[in-house]
Amino acid sequence: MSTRIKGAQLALEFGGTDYWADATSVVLDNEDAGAATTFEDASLGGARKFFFTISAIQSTTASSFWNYVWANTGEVVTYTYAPWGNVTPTADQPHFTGSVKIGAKPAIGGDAGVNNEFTFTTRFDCEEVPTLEVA
Amino acid sequence: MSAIGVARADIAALVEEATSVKGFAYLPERLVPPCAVVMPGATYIESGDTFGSFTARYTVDLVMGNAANSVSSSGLDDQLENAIIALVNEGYSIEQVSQPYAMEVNNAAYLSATIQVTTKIRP
Repeated sequence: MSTRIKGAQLALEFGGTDYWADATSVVLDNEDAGAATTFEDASLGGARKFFFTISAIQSTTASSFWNYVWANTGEVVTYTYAPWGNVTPTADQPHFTGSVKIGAKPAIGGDAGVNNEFTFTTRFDCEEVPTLEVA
Repeated sequence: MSAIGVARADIAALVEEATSVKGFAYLPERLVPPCAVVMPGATYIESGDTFGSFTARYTVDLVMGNAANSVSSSGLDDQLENAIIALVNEGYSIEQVSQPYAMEVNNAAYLSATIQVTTKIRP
């Protein structure tokens, strides 16, 4: 039986800093690139564009992910995404790496309520197909 | 000390400072009201909303001293308000406060109420 990935750990580095602890949801997905499809693209199943959809807590602490997105909107940085939360990639627990463009400035605020905790969702578009690191 | 224990001690200290009654982070062998006792809540620990985090739940039993009913009732309201403000200002979440009840201690009844507090921990 294959080992399932659970949502209890994660490594999510952008520009060399790990922001995993602020994240509430991280998905690396892909969609139709929207551009003209070449015959090579078609032979590989069509041109695809990869992107991150990230939800995280809102925090204006200097070291927070929210603050990082706010300060670096539009910049292209390297990323390392480890769904297993492991430091060193292996064949069974690989890392996904590449470069990504930081998304738009994040939302701030939410619904009233003493116990309400604000979150935001952002999208980072990858510059290329992610590299699967296994060692 | 564990993250769970640190939070428990912190809650006891905050309530003690806000209400000026003795705060215990454990169930004392002999309870002498007025006092506040922080105990594990139900469910004590559950999965949190960020990766690697958990939510810990505690109950704070605020027990008033021996006094006339009119004094105890308004005193409990005052103490609850002080405790809630102190806890919320330090980032703790208040789930609910129970209806005041009579706690039997040493063959006497003392007006009490229970605050349910939650906080995020990362062991």
